[in-house]
Amino acid sequence: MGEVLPDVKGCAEKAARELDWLKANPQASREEWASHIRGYVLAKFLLEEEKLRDYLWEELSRVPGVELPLGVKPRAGIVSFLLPPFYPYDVAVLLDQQGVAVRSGTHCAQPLLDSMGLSQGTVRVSLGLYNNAQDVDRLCAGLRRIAAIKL
Amino acid sequence: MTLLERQEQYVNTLGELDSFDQYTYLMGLAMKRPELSGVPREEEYRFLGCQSNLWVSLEEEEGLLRMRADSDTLIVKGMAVMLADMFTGAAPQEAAQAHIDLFQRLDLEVALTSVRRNGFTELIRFLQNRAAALAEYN
Repeated sequence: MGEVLPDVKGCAEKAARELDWLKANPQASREEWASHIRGYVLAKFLLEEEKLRDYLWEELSRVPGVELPLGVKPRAGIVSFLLPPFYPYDVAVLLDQQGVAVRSGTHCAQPLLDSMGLSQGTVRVSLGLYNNAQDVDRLCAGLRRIAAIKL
Repeated sequence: MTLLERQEQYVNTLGELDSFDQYTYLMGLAMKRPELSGVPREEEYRFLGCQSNLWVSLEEEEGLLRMRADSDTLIVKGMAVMLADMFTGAAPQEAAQAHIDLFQRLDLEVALTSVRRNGFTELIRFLQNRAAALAEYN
């Protein structure tokens, strides 16, 4: 089975290969150039997302009380977590109040989550091209503030 | 204190807080009033129409109402416990006719998205219909 998503190293190598090709083939056809530029840009985008995903995973792991039910770093920029005793919806509302938008609930996957013992759902962070490390920092600061609430 | 006086008290208390602290207050309320939240999590008590699971009961004891509410999310539970506190101790007739508008007056925007507001508007309507039925029964 081939790799579905490349890792950071794979993305960096792919971007470098495409850039080398573009430099080495200034006379190539417009179509060939467009194809390699697309490859380069996509690899750069993926590279940024993979780096940010790694940063998110590390930072989330450091927030006291955060549980990462999957236990392994996901392959894409989507991370599910819990912050007991707070219910996922409560966490999402309190993050929203701090300017951080996340999803909460069962993400249209109730049977899967039931089978994983997560019928109450999870909080889910999704990274996009528009996110950066500061967004991750803001998320984690928001979670620390929630975790500090004395019920 | 009457039902409407308790409503005013909640509107005033929450009105002084910023939105984050409003939610914190509601979650605290959910934890601190077990006498208002001990309703069995069974199908007959489940209130349909709310995004989160919500269980409510409204009964009459010696001429006065007793309401209990529970939810798995603390914010929703806190909102329902506020209602339980308002309804409990009120006469059925009083509860059926009261102008209950605390959710409209409080700026709990996130917990009161259109779907959720329908949920709580429906809940209040359900409670007041039930209170009216209990008043008529007497």
